[in-house]
Amino acid sequence: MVADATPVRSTGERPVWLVGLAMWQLLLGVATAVGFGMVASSTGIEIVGTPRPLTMAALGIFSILALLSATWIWRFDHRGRLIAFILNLVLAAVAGFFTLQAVNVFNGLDALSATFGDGLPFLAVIAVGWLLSGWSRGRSGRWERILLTASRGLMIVGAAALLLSVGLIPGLWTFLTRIVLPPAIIYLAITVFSIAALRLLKTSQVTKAFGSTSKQLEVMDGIAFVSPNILGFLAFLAGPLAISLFVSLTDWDGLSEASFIGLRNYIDLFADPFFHRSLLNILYFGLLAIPLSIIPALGLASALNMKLPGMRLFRALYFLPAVAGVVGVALIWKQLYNATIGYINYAILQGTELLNLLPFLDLTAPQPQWLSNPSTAMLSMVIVFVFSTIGFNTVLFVAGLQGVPPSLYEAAELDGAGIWGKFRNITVPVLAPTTVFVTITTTILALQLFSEPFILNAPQLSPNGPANATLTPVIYLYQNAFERFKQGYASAIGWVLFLIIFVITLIYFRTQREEGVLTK
Amino acid sequence: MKLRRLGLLFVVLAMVLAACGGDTTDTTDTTTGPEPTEAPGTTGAPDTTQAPDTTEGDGTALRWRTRPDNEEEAAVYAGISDSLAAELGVDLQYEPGGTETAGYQQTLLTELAAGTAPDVFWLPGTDIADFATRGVILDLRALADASDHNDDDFYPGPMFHLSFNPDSGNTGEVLWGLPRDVSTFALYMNVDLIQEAGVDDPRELAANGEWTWDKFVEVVDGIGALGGEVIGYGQSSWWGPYGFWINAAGGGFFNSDRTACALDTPESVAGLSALADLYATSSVVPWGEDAEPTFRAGNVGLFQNGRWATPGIRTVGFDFDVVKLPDGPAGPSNWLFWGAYVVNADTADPEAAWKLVAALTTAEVQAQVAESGANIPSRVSQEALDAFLTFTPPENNQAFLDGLSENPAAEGPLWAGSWPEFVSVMDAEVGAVVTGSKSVDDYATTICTLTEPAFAG
Amino acid sequence: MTTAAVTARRRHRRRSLLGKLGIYFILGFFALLMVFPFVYMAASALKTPADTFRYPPRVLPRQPTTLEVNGEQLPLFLLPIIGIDTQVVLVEEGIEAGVFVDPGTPQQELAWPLALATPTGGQATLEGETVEIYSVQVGSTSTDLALKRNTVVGGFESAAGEETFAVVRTAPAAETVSAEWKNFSEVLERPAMERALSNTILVTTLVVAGVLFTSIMGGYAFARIRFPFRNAIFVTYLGSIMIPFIVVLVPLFQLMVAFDWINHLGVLVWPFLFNAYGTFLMRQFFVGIPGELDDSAVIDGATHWTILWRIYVPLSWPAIATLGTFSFLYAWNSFVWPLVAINTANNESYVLTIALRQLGGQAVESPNLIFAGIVIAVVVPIALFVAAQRYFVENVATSGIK
Repeated sequence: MVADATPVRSTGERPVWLVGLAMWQLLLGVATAVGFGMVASSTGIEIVGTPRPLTMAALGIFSILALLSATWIWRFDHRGRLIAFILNLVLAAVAGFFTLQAVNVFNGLDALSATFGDGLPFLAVIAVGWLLSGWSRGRSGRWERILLTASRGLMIVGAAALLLSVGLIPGLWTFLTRIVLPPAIIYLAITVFSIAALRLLKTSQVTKAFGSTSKQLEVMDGIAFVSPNILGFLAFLAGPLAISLFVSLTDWDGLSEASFIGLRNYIDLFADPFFHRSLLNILYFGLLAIPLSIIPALGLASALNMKLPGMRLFRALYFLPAVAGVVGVALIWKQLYNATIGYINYAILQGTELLNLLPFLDLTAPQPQWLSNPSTAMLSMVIVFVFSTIGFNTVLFVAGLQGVPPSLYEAAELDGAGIWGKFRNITVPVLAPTTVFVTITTTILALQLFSEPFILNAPQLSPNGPANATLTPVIYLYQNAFERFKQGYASAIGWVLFLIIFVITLIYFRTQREEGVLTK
Repeated sequence: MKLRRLGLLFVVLAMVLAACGGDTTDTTDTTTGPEPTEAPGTTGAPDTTQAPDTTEGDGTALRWRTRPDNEEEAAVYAGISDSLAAELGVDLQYEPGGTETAGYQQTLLTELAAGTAPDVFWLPGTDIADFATRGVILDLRALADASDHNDDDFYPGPMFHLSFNPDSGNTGEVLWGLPRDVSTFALYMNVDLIQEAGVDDPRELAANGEWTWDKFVEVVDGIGALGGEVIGYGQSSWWGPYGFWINAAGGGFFNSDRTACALDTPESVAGLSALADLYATSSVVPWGEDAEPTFRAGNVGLFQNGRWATPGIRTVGFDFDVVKLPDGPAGPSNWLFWGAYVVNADTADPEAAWKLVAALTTAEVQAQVAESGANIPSRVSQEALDAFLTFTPPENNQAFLDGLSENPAAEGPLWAGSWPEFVSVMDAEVGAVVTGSKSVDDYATTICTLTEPAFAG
Repeated sequence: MTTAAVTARRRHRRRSLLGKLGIYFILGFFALLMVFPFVYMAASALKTPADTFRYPPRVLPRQPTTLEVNGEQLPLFLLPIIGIDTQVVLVEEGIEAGVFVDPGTPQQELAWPLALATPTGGQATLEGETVEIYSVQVGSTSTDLALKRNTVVGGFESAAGEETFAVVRTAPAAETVSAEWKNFSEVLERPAMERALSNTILVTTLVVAGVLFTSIMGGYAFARIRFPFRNAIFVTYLGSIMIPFIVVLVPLFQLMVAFDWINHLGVLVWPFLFNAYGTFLMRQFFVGIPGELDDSAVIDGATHWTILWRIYVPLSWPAIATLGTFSFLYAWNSFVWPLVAINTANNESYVLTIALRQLGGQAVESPNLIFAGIVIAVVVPIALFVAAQRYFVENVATSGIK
């Protein structure tokens, strides 16, 4: 962020770096134009499997922009600097990616994982050192310095030991031997040059020459800072999303060539009895699980908000199922649900016997076969889902209530409001935005039910459950994509589900807005 | 600050050493040019055809895989792999595969598509058609004819399917693989529970020819009367165990030439109905719950399973034996289960793969496997059968051999359609009937219409 | 103060005391429901396999007490001899016996050797069937009982030499509460478990580091750096949170196949180094930091980079701790993506979620091992959560909702 400077605009004097920069951009423009031409005429290098229009578009746009930026740079126009910055950023990312891919760094993580176990103790040493440094800040003068040095020493020693134990030296050697071979060295060269261009573009002499304002410089900073997120988003989210839409219009099976079949998948889906069943199942599940995960959470949160001693303990306990992860929780419940020796049926038995002590009652304890009976199978999923979600929702509600001044409650009490009145007239309205958030997230989670049926039904039953009682849209998607190799069909299922979720979310937002409760 | 710089250096070094992949497997196949990030490929899987374990210097290396029912069985095959490796002079790597419901076949198909499947693998008999018609397993006929292989050495049931050419409809022209072994079903018994319940010993009943379905239900009820965690009978919920009931009543899954569904014939329906009654009224492990662990824990009296489960069951802490399956209304019945070793169509060394398959199915290796408690040899040989009787426990191995001779229905693929699709519909419908959520009459009228789509493929 | 107000106060205090008790009761009840499965898991992780199949099920792990007899450890049973429960050992098995009942009280059954029963020739009716009466000799007394059915018993002997008989399976074993700690080492020795543990640590560390780094940078940019279309880009990026993962699952899988990352551990890391929610969280927090701090730093000639790392980050530990914990939990517990991206045959690239799922299938005969595995998988996130709880709870929701 430099203050405005007087630009050097004499047309006769062009500094070396400017020429170099312009030349670099020109080179890029020409190279990509050539690439464009080669792909367009479908001779020469063919990039495996890439849809041609897309590659051509990318190369074409890049080329035009590069040439434009070259001319602008030549003319000291700041726009050239900006464009060059963006292009080089993208180029550095892409070329860097190819370099690492060519040297097999991404998959080299496997090798690291093999030796990582040996390095774990040193990771612990580093952690201890870091904790020590945090702890040292509270101490008095001399102690602080000693502890700080000690902690830093620990961390450095730990890091060195970690790197050595996981095989840094052989790793470096492999890296070096691989990187000197083409194509890696070429990609590396491109990466290095584009990074050099980037650094050059940010120096103060360039700023002076172009007369860039601090605002213009900020733009470059901004782009640099958000680039990891945006590039990642484009590559791993937006890109696949777009591809998914395209794939859903084909009959691709993941192995051979795909052919375009238009909306056929969607039409078939519309008539598919399994898909209908999965929608019915998830509707049943949602109608039970969503209210059960939210309403009790609301009650619990207002109870927790009364600021009685021990609340923090309860909060921690409620969060436990969310922390433990779905696989562990599902496996525990699988044992509990065992119809013969499981604890739930035993508890029901004991409870019934307790009730039977009352003189006028003589009940037989129901011992449902939770996971094998089609009538109770989905109910079992509901219970596990509520178990995992209710704590999390409670905590969210508690946080939502934090902002409420206690004086509101006191005033209501003085007016004679009881617990229910306070709840209805203060807690509920205050929590309205939180409720919307919680409802939306719970709904989205519920509609994507997959892991619980997948784990609870194994190994005897398929994830569909007894008589397809626990078949959900996501399970159906998984089966179509990875067991029956109907990737086009599976993509269509994904989009239909997305549409359903989107519509439901929209409805929630609408109802809230109408009631005038949602303030943005 | 210096620490931060060091930290950055640390991060970079960590990234760098992640490239440390020197002497282990994953060095190859980045040779296919990486796609630009903006335009991911639509053909997806890279077209490498080699298995990752390419030849490292001298000698071939083959990967092979089976689907063991339990850890003991896996140990058996791992041992065989080691001894064969020494014998053939080939580097063999044995991989125990997943379970049925953990997608053993699906994993194979995915790997075949990606080019990372093993060179030789075992397939259940029912899946041969699926893999053969996709063209992912090798036709071994030429290699077999060039060696001293003879189709008649093996049981005719499996060999029919293994030599079936779907294009011409004839047998003998192709060879999809060799049968590893055969197996029949029997009832594993917890003898302690039977004695404690004071019921008639099923072995005596069978010896006297009185081992009928009705007697079976009596025994089951008697054991179940012990109460608590004791259950009379358990079976798995896949098509093998429940298929027995359908077959023994005189019915079957398919018509005689396996081109249409026969689940709605009166006999088939009667068999299923009997099973549903059993589940409704007697002490049975709930449908869909795994009966094997409960049996191995000593809580189940009678447990239906195949011979392959024996290595695992030998480890139980109670006195166990087997008895043949009870005679149904149409007489005794059983399944002839078989699986085959097949060769990956893309294997790097077909000759070595054929040699492995042939070696795995010699009489000696089959005897080894049978001795360790797993299945019956697939080579027709009285010697083998006599030897089999000596592989105790269980004492009553004859029960399995009875299954071989008493009208077994050979399992087989559905050349006229898609077996996996047929089974998934059948499993769901049968499960609905057995658990009582669908009436038998509903089932009878709808089952063959529901399974029709499976034949369209 | 009027008497009315005083009584109202008193009533209020009484009601509030009752109310407080009621609240504790409800909170406690739910807490019990939440925690019981975990208590059961932890206790069962210390059981022997036989104990896990026991009926009725118990929470605490127990093993039979043993007695050394002639160099072996024999389990002790607790059987009544002349009405007094005595500790006995099993000395003989397989004795032919009968189940005898008094027709008047058919629920009380006595399993006794047939050798000690002599038929009297009499008959009785039991549940509609005719049964024979025997004279059964127990100790020094003989009673006339009806024979219900045959069975098999074992012979037991006490230290004092007294003998009795009972069905071996149901003879109550003398048990003590005892933990089988070696379950944990046994689980870790199984193929892939130990490797899965270290893999999970590696993957989680990398993902958390990546998410923190990109989110801090991105959040700062959206909060403090002005560039064109900033808000539009932010809202779009934020909107991506609403995209359910499954829509992207299949094409992301295919992209990974194209990159040849499938079935390698990296596939669990590289696509997840950035997170829209994390960026959002950091941005909300950074927006709350007063802008004057920047200005003084700018005068000193600082760049955005230094301002971010030297000023903003040290002020943001709560948000960073929250985001770090969140990412950790998400990465540690993620199941669907590893399930799809790593082949079942590839032991070496497992993470804990899929190793645990496989354990659940392979160790069905020993549920105690499954529980031990779950304990191992669950103890790290729980410990981390407990440690970070202070920052975590207040911040996660406040920023998320507003």
